[in-house]
Amino acid sequence: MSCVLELERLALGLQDTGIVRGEGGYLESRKTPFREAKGRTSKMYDDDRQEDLRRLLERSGPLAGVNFEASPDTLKFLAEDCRVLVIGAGGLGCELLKGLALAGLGSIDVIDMDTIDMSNLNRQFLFRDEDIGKSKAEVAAKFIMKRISHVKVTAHHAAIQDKPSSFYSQFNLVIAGLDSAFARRWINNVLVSLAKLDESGAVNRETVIPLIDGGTESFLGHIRVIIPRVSPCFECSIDLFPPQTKIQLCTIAETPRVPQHCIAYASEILWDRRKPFGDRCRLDGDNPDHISWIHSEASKRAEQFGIQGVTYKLAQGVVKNIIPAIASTNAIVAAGCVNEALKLVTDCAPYIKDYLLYNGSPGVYTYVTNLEKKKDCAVCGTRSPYLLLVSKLMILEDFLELLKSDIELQADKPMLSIGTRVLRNSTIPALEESTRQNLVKPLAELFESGTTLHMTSAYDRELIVKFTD
Amino acid sequence: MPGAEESHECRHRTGVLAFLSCCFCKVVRVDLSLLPAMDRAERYDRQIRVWGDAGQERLEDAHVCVINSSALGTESLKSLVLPGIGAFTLIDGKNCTVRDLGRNFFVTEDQVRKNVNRAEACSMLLRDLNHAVEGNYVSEDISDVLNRTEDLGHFFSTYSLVIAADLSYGPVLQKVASACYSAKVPLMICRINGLFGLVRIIVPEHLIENSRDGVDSKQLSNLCLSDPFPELVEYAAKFDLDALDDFSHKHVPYVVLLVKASMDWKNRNSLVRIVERRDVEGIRELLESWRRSNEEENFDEALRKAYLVRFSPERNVLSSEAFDARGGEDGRGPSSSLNGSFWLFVASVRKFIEEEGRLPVSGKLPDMTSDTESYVGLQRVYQSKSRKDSEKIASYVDKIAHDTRTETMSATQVQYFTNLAPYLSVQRTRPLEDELKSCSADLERALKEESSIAHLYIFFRAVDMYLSESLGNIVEDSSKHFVELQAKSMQILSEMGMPPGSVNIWREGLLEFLRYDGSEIHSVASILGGIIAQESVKLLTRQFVPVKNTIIFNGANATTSVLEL
Repeated sequence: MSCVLELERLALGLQDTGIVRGEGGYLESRKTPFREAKGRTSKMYDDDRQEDLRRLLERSGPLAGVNFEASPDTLKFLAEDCRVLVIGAGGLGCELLKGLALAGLGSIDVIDMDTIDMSNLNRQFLFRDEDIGKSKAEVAAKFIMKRISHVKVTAHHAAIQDKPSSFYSQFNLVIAGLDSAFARRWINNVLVSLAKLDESGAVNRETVIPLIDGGTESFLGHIRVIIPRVSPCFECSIDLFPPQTKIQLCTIAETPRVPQHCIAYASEILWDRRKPFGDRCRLDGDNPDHISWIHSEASKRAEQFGIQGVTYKLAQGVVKNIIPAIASTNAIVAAGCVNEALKLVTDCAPYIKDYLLYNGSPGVYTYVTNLEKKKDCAVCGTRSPYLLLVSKLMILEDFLELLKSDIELQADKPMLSIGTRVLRNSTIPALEESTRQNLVKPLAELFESGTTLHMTSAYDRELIVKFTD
Repeated sequence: MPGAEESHECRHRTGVLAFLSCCFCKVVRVDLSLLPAMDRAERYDRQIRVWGDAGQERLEDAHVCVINSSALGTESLKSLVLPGIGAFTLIDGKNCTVRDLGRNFFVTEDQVRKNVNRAEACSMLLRDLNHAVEGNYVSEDISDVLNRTEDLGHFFSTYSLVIAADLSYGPVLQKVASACYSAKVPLMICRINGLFGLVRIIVPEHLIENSRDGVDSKQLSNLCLSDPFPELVEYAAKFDLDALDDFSHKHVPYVVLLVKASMDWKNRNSLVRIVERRDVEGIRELLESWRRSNEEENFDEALRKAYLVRFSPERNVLSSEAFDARGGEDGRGPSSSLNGSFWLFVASVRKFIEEEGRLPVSGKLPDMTSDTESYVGLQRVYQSKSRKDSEKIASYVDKIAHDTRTETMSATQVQYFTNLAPYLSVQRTRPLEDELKSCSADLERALKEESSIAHLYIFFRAVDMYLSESLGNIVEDSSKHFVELQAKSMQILSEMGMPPGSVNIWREGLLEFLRYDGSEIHSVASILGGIIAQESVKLLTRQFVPVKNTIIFNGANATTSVLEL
């Protein structure tokens, strides 16, 4: 569209008796003091399509960041040099990709190991019915590139743990839309370890890759901005995400009261006892036959105890630990992450420090709060070993439960070793088998009081275990 | 959900019929084959876990009208089409431009090249998100639509909700607002400028059937522990604590413990009700004396919840707007059968409260330490009381309906409302014309705070006024914009009844407002669009509590502020 036409329409818009705002800026057709940009060269960002961003990035104002410089170079940087990685192509990921592409980014990478499911379609808007079963990252990348021609989106259909740290070091910024604390801790650890200190102990700014983390559940959401080694890291405030409280086993086994207790009985006790689909078959929340079996067993138990309300939907929710999700919260939190990313990269306004809480009902409520950097943080602090006081009679299986429920460790399926001797590894089949016998052994049979154990979970950590008896 | 089904009012269908015969509206591919039931349940699973089947049905019956398919308009619609509203209509007279490509995800380069109307372009791409949704568009400017429509009230009453995206505070918006207000259709006025945004909800009366707020506290106060009904006292009396073995003793539900302890205390001290805090303390001591060991979790729970025995005449719910509302007096609904049921029920509950001195029992019992038998037994006591209460209310419903010659409600519908009685609520906002003329107390308070983002509301209006008045009068001296806008802001404040000098205009805010110069940043449009969709879902499902009534967003420091205009 020619410039003249655009201007004509612009004038028309303004003469529109003020009904619909003119297509130009409020004052665009008049002389403004903010027009500082000159000498644009590259076609990609020197396009009318960037008109709105230009107002924000090529003019300054009293609320701009302290280091902000109004310049056309900013758009050029975003289009040509800035590399952003999006982790997760789910509810938040789809929104993040759209937002970044329309924030002037020229090149975006996205990583996700998941495939598309029917229940994603109520909010993951880059996917269609015919995409079910395909890679989320690949379909999302293709969709964005088809819609917005000047953006290059590179898809990685992989788990984040499959990529070496050199993969992560190529980016200027990482934005995560994840649904597990484990993955958040893992990427946090990688980015902190990539941030190097020079001889004087100061952070080498060149190596710092900021992390923006978004999360949602129903009407609730959060946005977290982490500048590794500069601001508090995810691990500094791990207690913000307490481990899920499980239903007590005795309630499930002896005194069930609500339908959830009956479902937990079927999935946690009966499944292992009856092995309804064969010895080696684990309970799979996505397998309708499995859920049907759980539903039917839970219903029997409920009837026996006079409890009402066991439904297929509830059974599925309990077994899969389904987190309710709605499109609007995803949009708000993801767009909020993009807005913070834009501010972080350009300093057009100050980014949040460090944590924003969003609550969408009742009313709308947001709250930004500073967090504390933890001196002895296991990731960005002194990394001092973690001391545990336990009974020597405790068996290894219970000890592992303790590591999982400990508010600071929250270690899910950790690998434990002393030097080269592996005490427990549940992920590699051969090691799983050879260490299974240790599970029932009291700790005193495995090591002495005061021994240093090496634990690998979301990251590596030294544990010193002392016996109290 | 029983009850809700019968009370449905189907605006969407009347809307569609109206539009099939409507001369200027085009329908994008009417897809009458709905999604197969299983697919639908699975597709919407994650959200039905939030607002239930009743909420989903309400959404699917809704027809949302969006004025202007700017980024703000399409981002709002996106998060309504995905969860499956019944239909939408986009109204926009403009064609797609290159500039739209940089901010609006629902415009393609091809559409820009072909100079396609923006409402048409966006409705095609939005509808593609969910084929169960019907997409309509009107390729005319809203001002032309208003000019050629004779009965505006009727025109807007075909919609469940109207979203005015980027419509300035001029005569057209006022016309839309007054038509929506008289047709009792909720309207959202949405504005954006750079990192700033505003969403105002206008609805003469919004009935909330399930506020889903304060669930824990409301459920607890609904246990009637301050004034236990005879069946509950009788059930508690069956537990002879001294005769129980240790296992049973530590599995007596705390509700039973509290009823026993408070009855005991009342008898000892010849009290009718527990009013004083020291009596609650006395009951705590009594519980401590009954306890056999520190490991009895049921006693821990009873001690923590002992405050529930203190009498409070359910003041919160009784005095809430729902129960002293205009419509509540005669039980006659103002605009529809759905509202009619709500008010009929409210009038009947008021009668019930007069007779019983309490809210009806909802029959929901939170989980607590207990053995199965005691818990299930207790649950039955509450459920049967709830049924009795509901029957009593149903008889009032019939009587009032008969007296006022309105349609009565079914028993299942009454039971449905009875369960939700603590969560009923009403919101009302004043019309736009009042808002423009007079400063609300809340706005006045906020404006007097230093650098309050409430000033953004005034700036949006000032800029609109400035632009509409200074047409053709191009200002060469750019510093004049600031002075002019400051003057307009003062003028607006004075027209709203604020004494001169009572408010200091937020200087930085205004300068920043000028910096943004009417730009629409996608991320900001997307944040606001999400909020607009969220509030729309609340209004359409009649669940949760909408913002009352304006939210102002400052993306420069990621803060929001809620104002009652």
